[in-house]
Amino acid sequence: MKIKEIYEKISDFFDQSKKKQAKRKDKAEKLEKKLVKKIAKTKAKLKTAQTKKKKKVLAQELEVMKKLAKKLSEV
Amino acid sequence: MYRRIFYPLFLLALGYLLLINNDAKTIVAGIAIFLIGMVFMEDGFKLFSGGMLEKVLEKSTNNVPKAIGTGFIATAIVQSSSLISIIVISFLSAELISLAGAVGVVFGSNIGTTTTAWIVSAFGVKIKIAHYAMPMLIFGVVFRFSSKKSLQGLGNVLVGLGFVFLGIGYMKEGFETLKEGLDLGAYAMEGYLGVLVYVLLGAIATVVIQSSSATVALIITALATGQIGYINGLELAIGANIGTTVTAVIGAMTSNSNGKRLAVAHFIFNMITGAIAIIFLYQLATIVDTLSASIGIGEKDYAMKLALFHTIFNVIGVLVVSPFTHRLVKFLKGLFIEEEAKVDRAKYLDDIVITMPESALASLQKELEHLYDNAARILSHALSLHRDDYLGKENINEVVKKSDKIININVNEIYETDVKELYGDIVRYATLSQENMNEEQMRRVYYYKVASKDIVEAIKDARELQKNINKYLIGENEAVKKEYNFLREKIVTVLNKINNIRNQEDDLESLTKIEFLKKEIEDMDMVESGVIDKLIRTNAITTKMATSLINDSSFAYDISKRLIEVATTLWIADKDIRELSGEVL
Repeated sequence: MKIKEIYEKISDFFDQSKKKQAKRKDKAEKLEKKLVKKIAKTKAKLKTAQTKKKKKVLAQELEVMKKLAKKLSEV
Repeated sequence: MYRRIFYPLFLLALGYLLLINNDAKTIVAGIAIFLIGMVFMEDGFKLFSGGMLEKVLEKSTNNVPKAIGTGFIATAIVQSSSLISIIVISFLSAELISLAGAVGVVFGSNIGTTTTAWIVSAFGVKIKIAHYAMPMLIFGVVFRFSSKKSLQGLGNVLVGLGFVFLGIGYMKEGFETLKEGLDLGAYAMEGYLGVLVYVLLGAIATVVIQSSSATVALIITALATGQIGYINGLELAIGANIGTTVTAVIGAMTSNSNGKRLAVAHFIFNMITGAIAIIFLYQLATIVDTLSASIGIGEKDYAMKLALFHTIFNVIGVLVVSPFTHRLVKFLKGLFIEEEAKVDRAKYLDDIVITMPESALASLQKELEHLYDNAARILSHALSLHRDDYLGKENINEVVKKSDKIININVNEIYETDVKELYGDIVRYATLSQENMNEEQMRRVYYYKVASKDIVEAIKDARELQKNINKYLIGENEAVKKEYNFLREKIVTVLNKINNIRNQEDDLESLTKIEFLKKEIEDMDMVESGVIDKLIRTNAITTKMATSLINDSSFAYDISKRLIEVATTLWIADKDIRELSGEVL
């Protein structure tokens, strides 16, 4: 193993911020999956919504959820 | 008064004793070092547990047997019944646990504290434990210099344990040399006179030393060196159990009603336990002898036998008293009733737990919810609405239209009685509680401070808004009335939805609702939406009405925005999800 690789491995080990970031990413992925399920449910609700008002609310909720999911995917 | 007379007298007597008797000096120094050790251990566990202790206590006290078990285990681990009592009082104040659960923990804690006697009798007096104290002190001090709070806590625990063992070593040494000159065994008393005298002595010693663990350690070392008789040692231990409640009762005198209730529960429990132990002293001693023989404790190993006795009579106490826990709780609730104050003050902020980060944060959260509830009531009334009219309702528009009767409240006056002092209490507590906190906990306190400021600002904005609502709601102009009803509807919708978010357990769902709510209030700006222009052009409102609407729509928007920010801080528990708020739209 090259010295540079060893150095990188050691510095990775001690780099707490990287660990934290990885943890955060992992959590964001889980949240994103959860949100994707919610989006699917809301889409289904939107299709069967009876009133115009209800449809508008659901569409806006869907928009918020999509933006939230996008934000989570960027973490 | 009590302190002013007795404290100098106590210091004088102590000084004289130390001057005339060198052995007494060693024993008292041992007690002092032991006590300092207990203080370090308590501080250490506060830092070291990082809120875990509080979480366990909160989750495992939903029924009395569970609470007793939790109290026992927690006290046996941290070796401090006073630390457990402090946490329990804070949780009780923050309504995180029930009074029955708290009383159960105190019962269990009484058994848990007897493990100190086992440690002292098993290690303290048998092996040269002072030798082990030194490495503990050294490593403890090294850890204390760490930048990590958990390592600092571990350092404090080690330093504490080191001092406790060192203290025991000194006590033992003092008694051993004292024996050569003065035989305390000669003062042994038999019969029930002996019982009363030694029980009283044990109680007085505990009140003076302020720690039953230290008294029990003292009794065991005296017993191990043959300075006191076995039966007299048992009597002293009963006295120590009674004495510790006196300390707790004195401590609770300045506490809130929850602290007082718990101190009285502790007092009643220890008195009943003490009475049982005194009445059946000789029978209990026989039981201890029989049990000792069966578990391998030597016949002459009086130190271990005392530890066994201490545990047995506390277990009997729990078995006798715990079936009456609910009756006891009813009695305690009737004994201390919270007085209705003219000015609303903090209900959940207890100074006793201000140095314990997680407990302090839990108390702040509850107090902010209290402040928010007051604000929601004031806001609703300022909008001439009652919360019962709209909370949980779908048709807010109809509710607002129907509620056209003015509720004439003076927001300034109510601010003075229901908000100002409470807000001050929160700011003070938030500032003082940061001493032992890590960076993340301090950030949480900062957000709590911002949230409390937002709540107060929302009330101040509502005061401005109220003037014109009261004016135009009963006026002739339907157009302006409609616009003010629109603003009322918007704020009430926010309050209503926040109430749903508050009861929502899924943080992701809450965040979605909050972000949606932010979108919903965007149309409140009447200048941007063009509403004002249209109303002026069509002569539907006067210019004076128009300027009022411009200002008031801005106040209404600010109120809604602030309330949403408060809801994010208070009701999204997950830090990562909370941080996503504001980044979405």
